[in-house]
Amino acid sequence: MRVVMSLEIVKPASMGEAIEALGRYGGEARPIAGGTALVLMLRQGLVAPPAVVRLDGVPGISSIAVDDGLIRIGAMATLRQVGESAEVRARLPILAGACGLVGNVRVRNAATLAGCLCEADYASDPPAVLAALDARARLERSGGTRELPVLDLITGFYETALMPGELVTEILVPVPPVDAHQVYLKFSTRSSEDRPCVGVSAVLQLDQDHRIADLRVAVGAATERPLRLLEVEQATLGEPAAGDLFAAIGEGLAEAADTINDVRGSAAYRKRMIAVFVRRALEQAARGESGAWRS
Amino acid sequence: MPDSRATQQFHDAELKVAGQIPYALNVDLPRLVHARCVRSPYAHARILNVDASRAQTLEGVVCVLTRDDLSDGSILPYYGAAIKDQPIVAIDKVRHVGDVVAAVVAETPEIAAEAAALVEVEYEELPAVFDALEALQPGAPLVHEQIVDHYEIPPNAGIRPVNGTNLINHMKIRRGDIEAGLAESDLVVEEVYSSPALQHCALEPHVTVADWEDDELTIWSATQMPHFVRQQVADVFRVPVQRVRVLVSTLGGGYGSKTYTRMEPLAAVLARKTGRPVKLLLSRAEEFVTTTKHEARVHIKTGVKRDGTIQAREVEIHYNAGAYADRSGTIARSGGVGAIGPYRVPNVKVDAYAVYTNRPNAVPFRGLAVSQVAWAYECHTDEVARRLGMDPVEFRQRNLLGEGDTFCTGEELHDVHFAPLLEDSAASIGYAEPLPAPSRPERVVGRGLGVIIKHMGSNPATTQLQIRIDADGSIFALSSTVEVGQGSRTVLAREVARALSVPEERVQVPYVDTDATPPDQGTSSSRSTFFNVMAAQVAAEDVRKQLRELAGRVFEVPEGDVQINGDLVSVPGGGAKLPPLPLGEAWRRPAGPSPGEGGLEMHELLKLAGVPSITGTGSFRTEIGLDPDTGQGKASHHWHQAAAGAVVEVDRETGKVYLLRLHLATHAGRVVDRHNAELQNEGCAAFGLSQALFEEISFDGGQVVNPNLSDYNIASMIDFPAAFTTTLAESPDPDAEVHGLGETGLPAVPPAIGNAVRDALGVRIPTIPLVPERVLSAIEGSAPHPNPPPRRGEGITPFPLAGEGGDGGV
Repeated sequence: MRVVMSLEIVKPASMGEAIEALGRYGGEARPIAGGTALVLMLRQGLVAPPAVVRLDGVPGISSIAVDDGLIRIGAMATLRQVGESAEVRARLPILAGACGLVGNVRVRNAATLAGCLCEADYASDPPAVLAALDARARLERSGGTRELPVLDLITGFYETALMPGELVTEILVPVPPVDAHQVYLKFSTRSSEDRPCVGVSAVLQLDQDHRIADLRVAVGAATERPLRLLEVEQATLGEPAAGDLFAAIGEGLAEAADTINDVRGSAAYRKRMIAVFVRRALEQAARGESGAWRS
Repeated sequence: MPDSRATQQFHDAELKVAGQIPYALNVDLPRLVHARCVRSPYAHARILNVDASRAQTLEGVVCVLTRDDLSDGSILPYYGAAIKDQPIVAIDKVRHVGDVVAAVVAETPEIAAEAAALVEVEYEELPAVFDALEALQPGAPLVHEQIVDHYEIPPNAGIRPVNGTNLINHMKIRRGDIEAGLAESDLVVEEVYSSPALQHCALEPHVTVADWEDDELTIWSATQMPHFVRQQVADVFRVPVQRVRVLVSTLGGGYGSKTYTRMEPLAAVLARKTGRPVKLLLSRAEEFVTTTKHEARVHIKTGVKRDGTIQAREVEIHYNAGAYADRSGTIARSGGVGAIGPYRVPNVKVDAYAVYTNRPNAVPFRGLAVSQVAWAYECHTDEVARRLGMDPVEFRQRNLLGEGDTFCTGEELHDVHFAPLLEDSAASIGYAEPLPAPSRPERVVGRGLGVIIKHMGSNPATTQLQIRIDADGSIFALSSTVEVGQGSRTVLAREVARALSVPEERVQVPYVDTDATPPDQGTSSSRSTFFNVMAAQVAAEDVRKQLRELAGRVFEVPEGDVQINGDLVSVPGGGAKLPPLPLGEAWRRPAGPSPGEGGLEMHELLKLAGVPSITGTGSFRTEIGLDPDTGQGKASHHWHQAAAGAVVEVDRETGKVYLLRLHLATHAGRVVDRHNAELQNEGCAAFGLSQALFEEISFDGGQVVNPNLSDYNIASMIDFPAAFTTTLAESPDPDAEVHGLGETGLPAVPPAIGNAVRDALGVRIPTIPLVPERVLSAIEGSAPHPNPPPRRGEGITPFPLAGEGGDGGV
C-alpha cells in the first residue's frame, strides 16, 4: 500500500503561466505567495492540494502603484511593503498602519496582502481595513477576469467567492478625499503579537459644519467576515458628528454582529468591544486623527 | 589581559550564530529511521484492541510498536521520576488525551505520520476526572486503580500515595497551634486563588535519537538530566547503567520540560525493535500533551492582630498532576514549604496535595511549585493589609523574615535579604511618590509589589565535577550540567579557572557524555551554578594535592615544602633536585624557570614527571529533609529571595491591563557572569509577565484546544514596558555563596502585577491570567466568564492528527 501524498510544486515564470497552472489539477491546485498561512494548513493536514503554484517567480506582480485616484497593489506585495510604501502611507495611512501591526516583522516580510484576503481568516487586520476603504480585488482565471469588492470576496469563515483556479492578481484601493480621516484600532487581548480580538476601521469625512459627509465603518476579527452596515452609514449622512451618534453606531454594529467565541474572547465580550472601539475610532477620526493604533 | 574571543562564552555564541550547535535534532546516522506516536483521542478509556496491520503494509514503514511488544516480560514497560507509573505505550488503558498508544517507525517522518493515522485502536470510554478537588472526592474515577504494591516506588521517594484514590502525595506542615492563632486574631481573611496549566514552550521541542550497537545503547537527547535518563533507560532494559550512554550537547531551552525521563524509553525500545537508529521528534502540538505546568488552587486564610502582626496562616493547595505522577509528589512538598511566604508566622498549618487527573502530565516548570503559591500568598498578604487599613509595604516589612528568624519548617534562616529587596522594588516603581496620572480618561493607574522565598532543590542532591589537566597544557572542566541556554559552560569555565587561578580561555568544557562526565542530579532547581562552584573548589583542591605529591616525588622534597601559587608550582628554599632523565628524553625538561625560582606551570610539572594527565575530583552534596507529618526539619541548603514591583494602567471599558513599569530585584550573592545573570533575571520577568497577563492552556474536557503558538500566546519583546529594570543584589563579600537565578525572580512578578491591578481597580482578581474579559467581569462584579472553546473546528487540534507537524508559528 502506498498512500503518502506527494505535493507537486509548480513555479510559473509569468502570470499567464500561473493562471494556466491553476487551471490544471481540476482547479484543486493552490497558489502560494508568502506561505505564512498555507504552509501551516498543509502541515496540519487541513488542506491537501495536488499542487501548489508558486507566485514568487512571476515578475512585476509585487508593485504598488498610484493610478488615477486608486492605489493598485500587486498580488505579491508583502504586508511589509504595503506598510512601508510612501504612497500608501501618504494616501491610506489606515492601511499602511494596519499592515504594520500584523504579527511581527518576520511574518510581515513574507505574508502578502492578497494572500491575507484569500486565506479569509477572521482573526486578521487587513480585511476590515480594505472593506472600509471600499477596496476591490481583481480576479483572473483561465478564460475570465472580474472584479469583486473585498467585502464580497470574503464570504464566510475561511470562505471566499474565489472560483476553482481563480487568482487574486491585484487589489485596487480608492483613495479617500484628503479631508477624510482614517482610523484603524486593533484590540488584542493578549500579547502584542497576538491576532486581533476586534479590529475597527473607520473612514470619516466631515463638512464645514462638522456634519457627516462620508462615514464608513468596518468591524473585523469579531465575526466570520468583515461587517459593515451600509444603511446605517447612509443614515448618518448630514448628521452632526457627536459622541452619542458614534456610540449609537457602535451599539448598532455590536447588535448586528454574530460574534465568534475563541481563546481571544467570548462572543458576548466581543460584542461589547465592538461598541467600544467603533465609538473610539469615530471619535478619533472626528478629532482629525489618521492612522492605526494597537490597544 | 585574557583574550575574551577565546572563552567558552564567545565560542558558544559563535557556534549559535553560525548554526553549528549539534542539537539532538541535527543528529544524523547511517540507516536512521523516524518515529511517530499514535495518541489517544480520549481522556480516559480502556483499550480493547490495537490493530497495526494496515499501518504495517504502508511502503516505508519499518515497524509499529504496540502493547503486545511489551508483554513478554523482557523489559520493564514502565518508567517515571518517582512512581514508575508511566507505560512506554499504553497497556490497559489511556489516561489523557494525547497519551501514547502505539508508535510507528518509518523511513521518513512523513511516512511515519501517515502510517500513525492507519493504526486502528478500539476504545471503551471511561468516566474521566479533570479537576484535582473532584478527583479527591469519594467515588471519583480512578486514574490508576492501584499504585502502591503495583508500581515501583523507590523507598526514598518521600511521597505517600494512597491506593483506591487519586492522591499522589499529601504534604503537611504543623507548627504552633493554628486554631488558637486564628482565635486570638483581630481579623481573619480567607480567600481562594488559582492559576492554570501552562506549557513550557521551549523553542526546541523534545527530541531523542537512540541507537543500539550489540548490547550497548547510545542516546542523544534534549534532556536536562542525562544521568537520570541513563538510569531509567537501563532499568527499562534491566541492564547495568554502563551499557547506556547519554550524550547531550546544548538545549534550545528547557524550563523544566526536559527534566527526568520523557521520550527516551520509547525511542530506545523502538531502536531495539528495529535494530536501527531511531529519531523521535515531537511536534509543537504534541508538546502540549507531553509536559505542562501544574494547575493549582490555593485556599489561604490568615489571622492578624490589629497592629499588623501575623498570628496564623492556614493554606490548602491542590496541584493537578495530570495522568502520571512524575515529580508531583515532591512538587507538593516544595509548594507546601513555600506556601506561607517569607513571613514570621508562629502558627502554621499547610496541606498540599498532588492529585492524579485525566489531564496531560504536569511536570516541573520554571519557578517550581512556588509560583502557584506565591500568586496566592502575595495577593492575599496585600489584601490582608488593605483590610487592616495598613499600607501593604509597611505591613510586609513588619512581618518579613529577618536574620536569625525561624521559618515555618522550624529552620533558622541566615543570609536574609527580603526587606532590602522589597525596598528596592518599591523605590524603583516610585512607591513613595504620588500615583502618575492615567494617560487616558477611561484608564486608572495602580502599583503593586510582591516578595517571595524559594527553596533550592527539593531533595538531597549531589554534583560531581572533575578537572583534568593534561601535560600539553589543556585544562578540561568535566561536569554533567547541561547547557540549556543559561550559560552553564561559561560558568563552568570561569569558575574552574577561578579555582585554579588560570585564565578563563584555557579551560574547555566538553559536552555532557555520561561515559565521561561525572554523575550529576540534573540541571534544574536553580542549583547548577551553586553546586558546580562548590564542587570546582573541592576539585581544584584535589588537583593541588596531587600536584604537591607529584612535585615532592619529582623534586625529592617533602610535600610540605611544595608551594602552589596561582598555577605555579614551586619549591622555595632551593631544596629541589631536578630529576635525572633517561638518555634521549631531555626534551621533556621544560625550558624556563626551575621549581626553585619562579616555579613551574602545572602542566610543566606533569611533563617533567612524565605524567600525561591528572584529574581532580570534587563533590558537593546538600542534606535536607522534613518530617512527613509536621513538615519540620531542613527544607533547603539556602534560600532564594526576590521582590518585584509593577505599575499598571487598566482600561475600565475593556478590562485590558497595560504594564507601565516593571522591576525585579533578586538576591544573587556572588555573581559569576554578569551578562548571563542579568539575562536569567530578565527571563524570569518575561515569564512572570507572560503568565500574569496572557498564558493559559484552554481545555474542552480533556482536550487541549490551543496547542499551538498562535492560540496559546506568550509574551513578545514588545510586551516589556519601556520602564523595565532589574537588580541583582550582591553581597559585599567577594567569596559569598552563589545563588542560582534561573527561577528565583519569576514567582514575584505575577503577584506584583496582580496587586497593581487591585490597586488600580479596587477589586481583587484571584485568577491568572488577567485577560481583559476576566478583568472586566471583576470590575462589573459579575462572575468571570469561562473561556469557551473556539467555535471553529480548525482551532481544536485533536489527536491523532493526520499529517500534523506544524506549530502554528503565526
